[in-house]
Amino acid sequence: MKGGNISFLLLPTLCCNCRCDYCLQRHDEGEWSTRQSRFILESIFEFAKDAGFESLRLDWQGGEPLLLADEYWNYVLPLAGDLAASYGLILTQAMQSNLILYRSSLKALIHAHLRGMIGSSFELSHSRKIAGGGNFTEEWIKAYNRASDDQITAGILSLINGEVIAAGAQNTLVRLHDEFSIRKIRFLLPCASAQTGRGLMIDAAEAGRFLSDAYLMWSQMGRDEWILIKPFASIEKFFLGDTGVEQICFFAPDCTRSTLTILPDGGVTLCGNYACDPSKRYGNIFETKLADLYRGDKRREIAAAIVSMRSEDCESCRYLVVCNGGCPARSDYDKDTRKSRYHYCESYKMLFRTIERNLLTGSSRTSGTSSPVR
Amino acid sequence: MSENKKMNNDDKLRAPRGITVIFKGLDRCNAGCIFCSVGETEGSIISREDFSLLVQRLGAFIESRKIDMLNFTFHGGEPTLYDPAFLDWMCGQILPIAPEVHFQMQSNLLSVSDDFLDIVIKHGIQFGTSIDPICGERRDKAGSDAFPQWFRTYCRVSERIKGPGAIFVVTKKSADKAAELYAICEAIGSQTASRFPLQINPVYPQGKVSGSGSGALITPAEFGAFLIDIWQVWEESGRSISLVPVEQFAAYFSGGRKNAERGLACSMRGNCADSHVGIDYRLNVAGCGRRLDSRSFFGNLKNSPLDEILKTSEEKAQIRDRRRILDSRECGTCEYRILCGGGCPDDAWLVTGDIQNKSQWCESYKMLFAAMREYYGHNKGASLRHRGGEPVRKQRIHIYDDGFAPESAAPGDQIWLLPDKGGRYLQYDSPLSDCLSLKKVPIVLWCCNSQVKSLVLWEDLVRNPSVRVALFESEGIERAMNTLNALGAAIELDLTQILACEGGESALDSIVTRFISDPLWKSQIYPFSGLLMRYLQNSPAKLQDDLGFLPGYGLPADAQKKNDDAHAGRIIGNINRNAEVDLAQWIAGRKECLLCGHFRICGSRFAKGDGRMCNEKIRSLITQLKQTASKMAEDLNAAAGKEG
Repeated sequence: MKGGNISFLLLPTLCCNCRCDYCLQRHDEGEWSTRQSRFILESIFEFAKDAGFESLRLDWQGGEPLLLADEYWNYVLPLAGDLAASYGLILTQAMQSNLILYRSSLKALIHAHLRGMIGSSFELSHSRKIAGGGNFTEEWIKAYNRASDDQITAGILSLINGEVIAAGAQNTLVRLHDEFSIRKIRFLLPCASAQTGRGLMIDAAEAGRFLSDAYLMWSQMGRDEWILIKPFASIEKFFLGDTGVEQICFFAPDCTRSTLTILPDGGVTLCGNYACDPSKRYGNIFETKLADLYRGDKRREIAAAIVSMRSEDCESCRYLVVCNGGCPARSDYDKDTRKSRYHYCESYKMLFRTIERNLLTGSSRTSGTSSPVR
Repeated sequence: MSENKKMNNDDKLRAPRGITVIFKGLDRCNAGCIFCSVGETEGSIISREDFSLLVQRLGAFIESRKIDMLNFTFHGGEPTLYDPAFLDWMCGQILPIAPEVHFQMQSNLLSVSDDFLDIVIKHGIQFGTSIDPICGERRDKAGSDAFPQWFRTYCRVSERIKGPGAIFVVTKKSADKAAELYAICEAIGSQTASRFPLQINPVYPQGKVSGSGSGALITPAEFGAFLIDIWQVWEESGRSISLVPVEQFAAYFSGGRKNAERGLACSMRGNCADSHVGIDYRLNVAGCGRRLDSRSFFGNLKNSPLDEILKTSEEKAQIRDRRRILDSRECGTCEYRILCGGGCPDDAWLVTGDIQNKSQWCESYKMLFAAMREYYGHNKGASLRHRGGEPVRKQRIHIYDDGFAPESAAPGDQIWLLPDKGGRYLQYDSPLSDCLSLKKVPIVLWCCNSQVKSLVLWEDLVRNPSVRVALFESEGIERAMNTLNALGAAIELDLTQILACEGGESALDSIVTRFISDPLWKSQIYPFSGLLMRYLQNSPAKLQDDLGFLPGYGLPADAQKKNDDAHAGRIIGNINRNAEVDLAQWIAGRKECLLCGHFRICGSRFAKGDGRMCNEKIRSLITQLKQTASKMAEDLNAAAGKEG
């Protein structure tokens, strides 16, 4: 490997203050000490440098990362910056939180090391719940306002569930934009796993219609200048010929090359979706050098398994060039056994067809549940 | 100049500057080649005391003969089985005994430790090796094909020292595989960004192959045919490897006589009596390594000084007199006498029992010389088509380990991934990807369709602009191409092979349509891209492009790329001198193409040059390409008209 970027999902704890319906993770006790964090960060930078990567992305996630004390973040975020400088690597840090525990004491740190941004999760439904009770939506809005007051931009991961589908794409987007002043969204489709079962899954065609309608509204309303919705802009750019545009990890041809996740116990795996699946672990960073784990048999095995998971339908699909088979972890969980392919494959195909048709013809018709409202 | 004077000058050219000692200091080997001329080994190794005596005797000989240069060749057995410290000690002992000492080592390269390599580098030991990448007749002790292990060691060794040259032994099994051998050696050579040095030897009827029952022996006619085959491939490929002794013979016939003689192997020099001596681990002395294998000893250093052994050797005297004897027989009138010197005395001895006879391979070399004389002498009417019929177009490297690409598959010019019908995956992070950093050359990965899926794991490699993925099968080609399109890989299609498969025609039709009209199609497809551009731009294919099969063509462009205008000018000059003949030949072989409506865009690139056109399927495909492009152009024009 010469050049390029590698992303690390750092999960210093799996503990969480919420119990959301769709969550894939178990909230086991345990967290990194500052000493362990230093060891992990040093290992990461040493590996990235030796492997020839030019840039590095650290995504701090959980569990809920804001459960960890300010002292912890005051230690690790600057430490990562210092290590990047000493190793000569370009560093980007980000954090994904439910935001409920946001406090202004972190304002300066987030501005200095996270580019003034924090990723959050929110949708207009009742699927998110605070552990031990409490109204998630109310608490989230308070936290969101605190962050906004501190000039922190909070994007959201937004789940498309039954309630959201019923509300319709246009109404959902307008409310998020107008009522909640949301300016960054990435939609998620609910995933079946050992934790969630299949009860939350939604119909693939309905999901496809929602995404298509959301895209058309987004394109009518001014695209990213209105709301930045991932991954609409990057897919459009790809259809328009920019094959080098950076796509979300869902659409990477081989995400095992570019993503590693480190768990609270030092376990190393592909991504957060596999956090609770011991069979997918490459090994433990406290026992084995990261470079050996990266080059090791387990990662190769998982990479080969991901490739082998692709069906002939997938290989024949002309949209393979866009999605590259989609997220392997979610495909694994959601695989529709009758069709032997990703449950939401048809949803994404509908979105791709809509984007393609919109770009080719300028057509902006929605599927018709409601009209765009400004 | 009189004939006698001329001969004297020839002899002078071959006069040795020093002496070459073939030292077989151990009788143990870690290989089990089926044609080993040594035969069974005992596992013995020379002692320090005996080696000290050898040094003393050899030093005294060099001093008494006032020899300037000593070439000391560690032979075996397998010399890499020496303890590194012992090798270091031996070299240290040898170094002071001659003003100029060069060390060589002939190894099977199955196992070379880093410590051993340190000593090799310390003393500047030049490695030579042996290779069999096509028939698996060089084997390890367990009886497995030794080539994979050889390749790994070769790659490792080549990172630290100049890539060793190799000897290939032609056997019955490999006699018709010259093209395959060449292709692989060419690819290996590109590993070290140099011309791979390959020497071609026939199998000796000795050791494990003694007697006629082994089935490995070849006739002189078969060996001659092999030499012609590999010479022709060598010329077709632009002389991309160093090929001994073919290269020297070719230089001779094309005018570079002195250079030719300088590179001739000892077996062709006709005068090895005073230039070579062989010494084994028991301190037996013979004419050379081969004569040691033949147990034809002159004496033993434990009993006599070397000078005395050589002076009293009857065989040495016979070899000195061999030339005169041969000249008095049929060699005296042979026009190629200067080139072979009667061949190796041991070859003659093995068949006739008399070292003063000519080599049994006389007929083989005469076949080669006659073909070369015709080709270089006139350079017209000479066929460069080798016996196999089809010219070799691709280099090939096998995949040996399950699912792994060869470590060697590094900076190949073109690399063949062995078709794997089982659809096994090419392993992730194969060292093949390392080739990108080693040499900037085009790499063509030839894959069966079932393997393409695994190229997802080699994303960086296939996206590299210097890499093309080539497909040749019909079944599953659309899926394979779709996967490659997702990866943004450049694709090359072997149209001839695909069209020959069932369903190939319809598969290519749909591929052409998609290539032209699907906005989601991102990958370049060769040759469609070139054909399409020519059609759309209405620019005829250049004939020069299609003369590329001629030796040397393409070099001007390379030279110009390197900003070596003078070099490019020389090459272009050479081509121009032959242009009239070449063009006439070219046109004669493609008369039908000139009348074909597609000629302007294909430039006859699919014809074989045997007077016939390509075939109906390819013409149909090109028609499809043109029709689809025309329709798309019409649609675009109509759309543009509507929008004003």
